[in-house]
Amino acid sequence: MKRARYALLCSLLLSCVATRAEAQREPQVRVELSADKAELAVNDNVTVRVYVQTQGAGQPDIEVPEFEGFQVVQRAVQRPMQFSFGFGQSQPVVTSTTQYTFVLVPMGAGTFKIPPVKVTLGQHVFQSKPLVLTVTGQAQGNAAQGNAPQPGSAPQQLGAQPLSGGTVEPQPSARAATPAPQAAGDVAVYDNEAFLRTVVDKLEPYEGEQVTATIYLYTRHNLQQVPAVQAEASTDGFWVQDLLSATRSLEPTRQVINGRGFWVYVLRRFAAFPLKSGELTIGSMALTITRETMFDLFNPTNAPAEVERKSVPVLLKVKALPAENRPAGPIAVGSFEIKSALDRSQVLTGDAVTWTATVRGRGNLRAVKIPDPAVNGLQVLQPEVHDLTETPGDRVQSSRSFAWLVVPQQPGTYNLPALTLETFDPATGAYKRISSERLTLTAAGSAPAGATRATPSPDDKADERPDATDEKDESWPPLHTQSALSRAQRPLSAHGYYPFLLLIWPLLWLGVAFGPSSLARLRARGQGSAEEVLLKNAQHKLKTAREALSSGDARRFHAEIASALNTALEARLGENVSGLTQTQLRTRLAQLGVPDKLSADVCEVLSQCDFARFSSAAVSADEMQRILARAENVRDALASFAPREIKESA
Amino acid sequence: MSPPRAALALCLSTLLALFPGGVKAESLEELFRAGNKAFAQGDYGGAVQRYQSLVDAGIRDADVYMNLGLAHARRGELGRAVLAFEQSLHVRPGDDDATNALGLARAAVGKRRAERHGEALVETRPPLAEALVRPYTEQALAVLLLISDAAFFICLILRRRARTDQSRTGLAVAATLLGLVALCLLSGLVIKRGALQEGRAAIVLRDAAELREAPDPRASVRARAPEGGSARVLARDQGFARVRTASGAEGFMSDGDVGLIAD
Repeated sequence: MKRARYALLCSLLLSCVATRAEAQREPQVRVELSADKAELAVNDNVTVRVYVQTQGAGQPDIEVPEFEGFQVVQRAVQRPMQFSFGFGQSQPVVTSTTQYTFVLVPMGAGTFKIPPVKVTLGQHVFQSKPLVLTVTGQAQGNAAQGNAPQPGSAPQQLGAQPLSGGTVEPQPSARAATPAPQAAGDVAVYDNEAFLRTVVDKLEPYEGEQVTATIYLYTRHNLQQVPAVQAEASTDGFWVQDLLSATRSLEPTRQVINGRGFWVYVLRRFAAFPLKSGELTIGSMALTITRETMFDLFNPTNAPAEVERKSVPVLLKVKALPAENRPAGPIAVGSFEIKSALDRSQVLTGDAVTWTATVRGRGNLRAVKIPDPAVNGLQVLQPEVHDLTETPGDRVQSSRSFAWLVVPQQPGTYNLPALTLETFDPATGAYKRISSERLTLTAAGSAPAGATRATPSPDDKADERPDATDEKDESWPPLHTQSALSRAQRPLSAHGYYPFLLLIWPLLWLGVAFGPSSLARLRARGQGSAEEVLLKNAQHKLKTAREALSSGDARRFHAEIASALNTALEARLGENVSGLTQTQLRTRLAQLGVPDKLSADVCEVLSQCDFARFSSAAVSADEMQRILARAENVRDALASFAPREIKESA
Repeated sequence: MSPPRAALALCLSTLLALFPGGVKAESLEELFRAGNKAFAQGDYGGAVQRYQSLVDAGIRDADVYMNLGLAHARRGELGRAVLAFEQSLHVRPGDDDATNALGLARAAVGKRRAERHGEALVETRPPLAEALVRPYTEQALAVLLLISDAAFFICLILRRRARTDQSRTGLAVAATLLGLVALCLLSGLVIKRGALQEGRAAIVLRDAAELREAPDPRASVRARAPEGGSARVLARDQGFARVRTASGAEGFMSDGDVGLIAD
């Protein structure tokens, strides 16, 4: 029994020690980098698998290498995770498995070494073995656009950056600097991230000869959006024709330069025709590129999302046209032909025909001008000029037509001369005169009624008579043999007085319609002013009464008070009330709607005045003062009172 | 000079001063007859010269314009013929001969342009508003407007004075009708005077007359106007007229390539 206890205790201690040792053991990591084939052809593809299995408490940090020389056409990731809990363990054991699968397409032949996969788990770093892939066979041509550079035809490098290993990060100042012009036909400043390449097909063209310039953008990563052009390549001294559609989409091709794969975009392609001899420069193009990192999901880089680049200017030495055998006058540079035609070869005299000359060929025809032909007996009007420019195969083909209206002045046959144009063909380096065919125009008979003359002569009497048949056909009305020979009559409406004639009747109607009512209104306004005059008179009489009170003239004081009140009553009632008795006055005031108190005041003041006139000495000065104050109150009350009849009439 | 003779001479000179038209009319009449004679003899150039002399002398007669247009038409100067017929109709609207001749001239212009260019657009009818007032002279419209204006307001005045309801109603109806007539006449007068349109009515006299960018013979040609086509002369400058054609093209045309219908 005792022995059994010891055995149990020992086993427990051993298990604890084993658990501690297990917990402190290093994490187990398995990193594999493998491919389904080690050798493949250029057109073949290879599946590369990255397998990382870790067993420990943390999450691994996996660094997937870049696949230099390959294009990733497909990628996938799987992350199954397992948790296991052992007996007596204090924390779960995490088993993490991550598997990346890449399908790669080689961008060129050669042996490519894919760096090992690095896995960081805590303080420990694990890595796989590197993978070597061999690509055999010839590279296929790019799905190129036009004259896109071929893979492997690296541009001439100016101020070259390191071509292999590491990430080249040019200094910001170096990015913005414009390279010096180069007298080379294929120039670029190489950069591991992105650069612009300018290709010119001819460095020493003749004046007027086409030079085709192409500007490519090389970038390691797909463009997130169309690059923002900061400055276009200057083309001073050139006549320029764009060779790319303005509405095209940027379709890249792939190209490997120095073992690095680049996306190549054709940004600009134009035909430049030098307008003068000497040194001319196709300037630098500047743009800002916003890029998309290939491994955004797995391995985001710290490189900037926007980079600025400038192309290298190209210096051209434009040759003047050879002086030897040079003809006089304007010369069209290129390969052209000229044709002329008439829309009708037979016309009636005085009728117009269209003589068209068309110059067509390779080169710039903008400056071409054919002088107006001169033929005796033909009137040649100024031509209409039409231009058509096409760019098949990046070569500018122009067509310029001149259309003259030609009017034969006299009947007969006119020999139209051949139209000529002096040209210089840069391909042969020789001058050449091109000519159109000769034409014949026949003008028959006199002009019919339906024909015209460009410059009729009033004195010309011989050719006026049209054919009798045409005259009958037209059925012109007969000549008017009688005429009043009246002169210009200025119409009535053109005279200045005509608008006033039109306004007389409206004004008369306004007078009839609104005149009487306006007069009545004016009359009423006149009455209103009479009332005001009477009220002012009453006020004036009260003032006189006050003066009489001051002078102690009681008789005069009472007479003025009575007169003032009578005047105020007359002003407001519209009738003279001085002849009425007290009773009649009260009745009349009541009829007019005068308040009883006011009526009583009026009558009382008037009776006091009547009484005082006969015994003025019996009234004291104080009494007169009160009468005056009362009379003023009565006057004010009457001034603000509107009698009933007046209210009704209003 | 004896006093009686001097008095006679004074009387004659006074009469001549008082009646210049009567004295001049005789010579103008001769000119007209000479034009007709030249036309009858087939001398259309001479006829044009004489009729044009009458116009230059201030004659604005529908018959003179008519004969001038016929002479131009016989010479093949259809643009000038169209202008003369338009002028004749401007002076005497609704004239059958002038209307017929104008139609023939326009048709001949179209025919010639069609032969030359393969197709041609011919102006056969004016806009509706102009067609409505075309039969009336501006003078007639002005007088009628004056009469209808007076009648309208007289009706309104009488209506105020009318004692019976019947007469008031009758006058109200009459005033309404007269008011409408006056409004129509006013609109017609405005259209006739061209107050709603910019510029003055004109005719292009030469086929493919150049409309240039600027009043300069070296300026580039913007468009070409067909002979006999309607146009509006917006301004005149340095021997050029700023013209807007019926198709809406605007530019500078040589003064001699466009003629005004009315002075």
